[in-house]
Amino acid sequence: MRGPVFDMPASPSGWEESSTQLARIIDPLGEAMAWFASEFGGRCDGYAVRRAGDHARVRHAWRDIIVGSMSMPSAVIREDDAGTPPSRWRFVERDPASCTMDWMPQGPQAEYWRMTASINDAQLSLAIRVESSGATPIQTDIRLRLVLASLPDVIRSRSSVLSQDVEMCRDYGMTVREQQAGIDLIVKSSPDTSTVLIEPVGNEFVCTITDHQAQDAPPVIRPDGFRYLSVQINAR
Amino acid sequence: MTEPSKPSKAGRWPVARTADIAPGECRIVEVKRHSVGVFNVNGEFVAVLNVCPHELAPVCRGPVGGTTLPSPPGEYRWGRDGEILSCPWHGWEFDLLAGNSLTDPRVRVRRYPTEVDDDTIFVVL
Repeated sequence: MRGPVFDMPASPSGWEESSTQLARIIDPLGEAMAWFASEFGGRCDGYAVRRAGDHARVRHAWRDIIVGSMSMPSAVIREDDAGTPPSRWRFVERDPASCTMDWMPQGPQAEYWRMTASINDAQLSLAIRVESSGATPIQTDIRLRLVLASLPDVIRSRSSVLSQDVEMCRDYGMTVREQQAGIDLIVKSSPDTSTVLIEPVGNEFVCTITDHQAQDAPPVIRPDGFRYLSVQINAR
Repeated sequence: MTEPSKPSKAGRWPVARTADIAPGECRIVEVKRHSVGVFNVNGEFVAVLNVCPHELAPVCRGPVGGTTLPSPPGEYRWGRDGEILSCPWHGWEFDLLAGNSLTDPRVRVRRYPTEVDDDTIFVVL
């Protein structure tokens, strides 16, 4: 007897023989599933939705690519500094539909990162919150990169950069919407401008999200302040 | 599995009468297409998504019992009767009152708030 959800493999493509512990979360209604690898930087290493009784992989990555370089296309929740092992991400907890991971810096920095992921109604939600607990302001920025499979029903166009429709969001400051055939990507950030670029790389699309536009001038978090970035992808 | 009636207000779904679920028992209901188990844990009603975080088994069909308590070497103490849910597939045990696995507290079942109004149990979802 199978469960009330749906039959899916325990790991995404390329991870079947791996001993890596993946945190799997599922839509309670059985419409989607995603995997996360805390020991590889808290990455989202798979996202699949059910379409017409079958499973379409919207996001996926391969372990050999990830092991080779932490900056290769994947869902990089936080890019670690060069030479820094990614194991500082710590798996906190999960239930069937959500999981949480933390990152604590080594050294005197007083920043604290928490990533939460959940699936509901086939929508994958990723949220990153960075807090400062120190007495002085700290500089940091939030970046997230996703590889979206170029499934015919997910992304039909292969245009280089998609247009953006930017509107004010009362809660977080800015909302960026990307509308494509079959995919709806929403980014919320605080308090500065967000940028979203979707570019083709081979047969896939890389979605890069940052919480500020000036790469050489990362935003400052005041003492006891925080920054927040959330992304929702609905590819059903 | 029983289908509850329409919610009396948004997000608050009546699922059973308090007399319908005796202590230590469970009723599996469908709320907004979600399969949810409603347990009577020694008088407290607890709602759990009917999915085990391990292999997606229908965890609420498992037995409810107790567990061994911390004790000196060579001594075994049994307790917490009616508070521990065991998954029917692989025997993973969960604390119904806290939601966490007994062996790895980082792994949890998903719980939903419940309310009791007169004799009716509501699940908030």
